[in-house]
Amino acid sequence: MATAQKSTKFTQPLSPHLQIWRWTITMASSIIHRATGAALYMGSLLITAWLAAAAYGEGLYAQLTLWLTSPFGRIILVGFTWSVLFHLANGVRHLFWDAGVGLSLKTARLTAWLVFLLATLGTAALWWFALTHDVAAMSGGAH
Amino acid sequence: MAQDNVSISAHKGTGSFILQRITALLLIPLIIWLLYGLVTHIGGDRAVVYAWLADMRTVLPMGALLLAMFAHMRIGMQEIIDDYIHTPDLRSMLSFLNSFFCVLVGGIAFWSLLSITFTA
Repeated sequence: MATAQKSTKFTQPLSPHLQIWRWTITMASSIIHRATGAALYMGSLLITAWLAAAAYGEGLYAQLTLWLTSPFGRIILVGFTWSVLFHLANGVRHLFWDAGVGLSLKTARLTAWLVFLLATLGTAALWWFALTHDVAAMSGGAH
Repeated sequence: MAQDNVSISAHKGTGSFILQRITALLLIPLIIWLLYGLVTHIGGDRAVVYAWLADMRTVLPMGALLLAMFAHMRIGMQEIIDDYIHTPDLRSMLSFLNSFFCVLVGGIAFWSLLSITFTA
């Protein structure tokens, strides 16, 4: 062991590094689960601002709506939607793993792809629905 | 853990682990419900949203969602802090700020919801 340590000063394997790993879909889904979790943590401010503005009054609510319907606000909201759907779908994947289901590499790869697909298609579907349906006209019987 | 001189309770871990999964299970239907509610009620006047939020059929799931969501967020962020922050003082401070953020922001959200219900 002592001789090994002495002679491997430059040849010993270095610890894995993010930049030299070949990216895999399972690795990406794991990292993005945490990243979307952190993003949604900040996103809770949006939900709270929305509730507080609705509670506070007409003026503040109109101002928030104006900001959220601006191009910048739209980008934030689309990102928020995708993050919610990704974290939701990948969270279900985690719950199955907790139950010991879906742990094989083949299944884990497949479900990782499905989560990305679902988050993206779901975001598109929600925004298509939101932008093509008139909220004011629907509100009468929306419950 | 004790050898790191960081005061993380050894018993709290199991509770957080279980609570994170219970809140995750609760949030699955509640988030789907919220997304449906949002796309059908926002983008218009405050009056539309106000009437929806004041309805008891909205208050109960929304209240449950807020409680589960802020609890889930706090545990998740704590996990990130514990994974990446190794300086004991900084870790304690960030842990406190995490709990403070969740209680404060969650409190404002919850209070806003209740104030709509009780003044509507």
